[in-house]
Amino acid sequence: MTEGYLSSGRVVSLVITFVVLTMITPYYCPVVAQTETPTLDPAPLLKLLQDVLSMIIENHYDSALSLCTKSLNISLPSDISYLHTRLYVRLLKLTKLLRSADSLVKEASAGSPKVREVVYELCSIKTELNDVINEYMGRLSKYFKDPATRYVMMEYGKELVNELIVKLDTIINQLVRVYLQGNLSTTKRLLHIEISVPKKILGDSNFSVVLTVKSLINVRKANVSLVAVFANTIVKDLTFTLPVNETAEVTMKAPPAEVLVGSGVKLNEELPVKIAVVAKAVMDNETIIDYVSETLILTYSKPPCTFIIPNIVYPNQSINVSVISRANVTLNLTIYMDKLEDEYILLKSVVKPGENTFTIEPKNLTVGLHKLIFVIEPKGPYQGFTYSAVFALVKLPLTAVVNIQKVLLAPPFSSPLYVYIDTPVPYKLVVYVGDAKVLERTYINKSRIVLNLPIPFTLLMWRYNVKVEVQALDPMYGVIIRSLTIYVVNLPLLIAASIVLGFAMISPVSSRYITFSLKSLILSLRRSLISSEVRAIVKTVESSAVMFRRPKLLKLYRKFLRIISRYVGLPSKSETLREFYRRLSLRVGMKLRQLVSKFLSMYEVDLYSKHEVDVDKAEEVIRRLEEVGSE
Amino acid sequence: MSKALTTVVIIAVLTSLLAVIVDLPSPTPYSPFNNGSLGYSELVEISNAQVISTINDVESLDRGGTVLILPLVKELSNETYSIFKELVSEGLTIIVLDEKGYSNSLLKHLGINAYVSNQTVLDEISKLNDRFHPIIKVLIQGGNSSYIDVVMYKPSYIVVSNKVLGGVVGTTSSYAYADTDGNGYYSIGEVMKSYIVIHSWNVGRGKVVLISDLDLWSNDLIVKEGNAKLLKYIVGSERTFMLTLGLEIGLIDGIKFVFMKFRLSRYYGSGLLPLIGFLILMAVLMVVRYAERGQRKV
Repeated sequence: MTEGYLSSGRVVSLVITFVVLTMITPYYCPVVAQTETPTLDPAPLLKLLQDVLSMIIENHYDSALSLCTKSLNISLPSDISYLHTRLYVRLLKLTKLLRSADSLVKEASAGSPKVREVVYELCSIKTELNDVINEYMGRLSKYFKDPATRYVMMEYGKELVNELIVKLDTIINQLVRVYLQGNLSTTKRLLHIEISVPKKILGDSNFSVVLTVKSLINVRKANVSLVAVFANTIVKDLTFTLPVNETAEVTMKAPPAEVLVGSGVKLNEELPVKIAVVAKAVMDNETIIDYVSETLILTYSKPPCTFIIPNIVYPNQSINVSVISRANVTLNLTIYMDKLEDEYILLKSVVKPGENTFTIEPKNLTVGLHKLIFVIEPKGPYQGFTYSAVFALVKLPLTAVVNIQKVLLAPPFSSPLYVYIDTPVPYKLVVYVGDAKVLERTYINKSRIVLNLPIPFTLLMWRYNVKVEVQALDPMYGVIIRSLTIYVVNLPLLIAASIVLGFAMISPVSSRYITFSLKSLILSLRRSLISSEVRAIVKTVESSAVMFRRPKLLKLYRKFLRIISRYVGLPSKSETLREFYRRLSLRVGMKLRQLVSKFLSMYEVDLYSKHEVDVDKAEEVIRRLEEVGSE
Repeated sequence: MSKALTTVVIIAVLTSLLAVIVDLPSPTPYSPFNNGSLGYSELVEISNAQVISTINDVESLDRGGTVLILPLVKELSNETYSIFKELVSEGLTIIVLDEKGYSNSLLKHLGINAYVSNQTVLDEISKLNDRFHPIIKVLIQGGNSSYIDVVMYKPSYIVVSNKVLGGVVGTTSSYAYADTDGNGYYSIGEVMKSYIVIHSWNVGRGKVVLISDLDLWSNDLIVKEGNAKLLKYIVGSERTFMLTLGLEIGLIDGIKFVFMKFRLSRYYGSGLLPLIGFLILMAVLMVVRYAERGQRKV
């Protein structure tokens, strides 16, 4: 009854569990669609950028503004989102600037501060935008899976960027012209300006603009405005009155490098300088005007500095570096160790014309190669410059001479060890004999020492490797290791052993023992040979006896042969037992002969008849044979 | 095992199976009984639609003031198309959800010069999270035109020969592209432009709204952007039916449909009630069983 109840209870429990699980499971295992999150597809983003650039180039500023606003609302991965926003904020600003530039070109008057402001902003955003677009496109290009698509999209994008830059240059030129001479549409061109400028000028240096205003009509003087725009960024202007047909030489100065860099201009290339001259004169209450412009190239040279640093530096040693400057201005210098990051700055100083020596004290440098990086900031006629030089941080080698005698005749088991340290620094001496450390001592100021080196006890003779390690306690020095070999001879024991062995070899007792041992050895060899032959014969007998019946005395016969074979050998294959007996009887004594005859008779009976043989008697005969054989 | 216990076990198993079938969510994509992210249970709930499964059910529908939602994952017979044509001409509104072009024959039957292209449209610019979820601008044309933004999942696009004014037109942004090589990225040769993904036509006295995406009103997307708003706009206050004839309905859906038809259960809602009912039944039966044992001992 109880068993039945338990069985039923289990069934009920199982059913309940099944039901509850099946009813609850659907709530915890909802059917969910597989979602996949793809990586960014860069092509539509590039297409969007291309569209914005095209619209700006084609003067569709409203559409460009709309697209820029739309672009700023796109959700993008974090690694590109910031760059994307940065780009479109600038494009938005550029579009607005261009829209106002359009109206300024048509309506603004000469010298309008608004024009000047827009020119400045356009120049600034042009430089900035060029960098941002290139960085943005470079980042997008990494997302392309298909190289062909990448190439096509990127190339078209680059073309548009170039077109945009050309357009911006044109607009900037137009604005500069407007700033200089106002709207030209209503003036007459009766003046003629001739200017002469150098083709190439150096930064922070003076250059001359030679100009002449000529006129075909009767005009005495002209108001001349001369404007120089350096790298589309820095504007310098000059206004003066010049008699017509006279030549004037105006000296101007190119901005120093730090000023241009401060305005966001990169100095590692040739920079354009636009020289524009406007001449105005009044004749019969009417303004006559002429405008001419020339473009020069502005360059900034590398600072003429030579850096001298040591090739090898020792730990905790200050590094003396020299900077020989042939520049005519004082330059700002920052020295970094290994990396161009603020935390790696070693020194900030100035480099004056001539030789400058700096002492650097690097800390926590590891042994190995290191790099000193010299960064000179742009200044005057010089662009920025970075120079790096590698040096090695090494430890000084120790000079040590170690000597030990080659052969030690012991006892005593110790040998003098001669150590000479050439460098007078504290050091630790560690000596190993074999693998065992036998000595460790520290010396503060001792260059010559003689140590009594303990050698392990040696029974007769042995060879030991002696390793001497000299560790300098000054981090400037390295470690030196010398290996030596010493042969140790335990002379008394060796002599004693030789004597004992010699006596042992020549003593009569020993020689007799040796003779006896050799005889025993030969006898045992012979017995073992005979024994193997006996086993072979018995095996033959056994195999032939199978045809009749197994003899009862077979084991005893085998024993018999083993005993008797030492006298006459074994019976040959063709020899009968009687023939064997005859051969035997000629060589052995009477007592043995009788016993052999007795055993062979019993064995014949056992072999060839059906009579019962007395095994005990046969055993007795064999036992007696053994006794006789051993006598 | 005693007879009483056998009866208990059989009743328990039957009850639990019934409860499980009623309660188990359908794994069939776009099934009105599937309450997972790919199901249409929310669509049925929001539109208050009645689920029908056969062409006979369709024939018995009222012509005017009725909307029929028709998701398609397979072709239907020409006979079915003829019935649809007749119903639409008499005033039925059909909303076809199709992203593989199964509706192209139906469109031809209805005299509509358009087709669904079996190519996925992706959009990296106007999107919800990723380009597989393009945001579609749906223009509601009428007296005061307005826009509803909806989100789709890998829609196809509709090629329309002649644009018809009036009704509903949903398009992607002009940076969407049909992923013809199916690699999930823009490739050379693929066209970036604005694609039509929703279009409606007036046919006879009725109307056909074609949507080239099956996921627009799936449980996952119906709650996002203006998807539910668009559904409510199209359905309005008219009686709505959902025909499962174009779906690959599984066994569970079939059984659920039978239960629903005979009002044995609802096709949505909590499964807690059947569970509690079952547990009470089990408790009662166990008490009876113990009482029997007590009597025998006495």
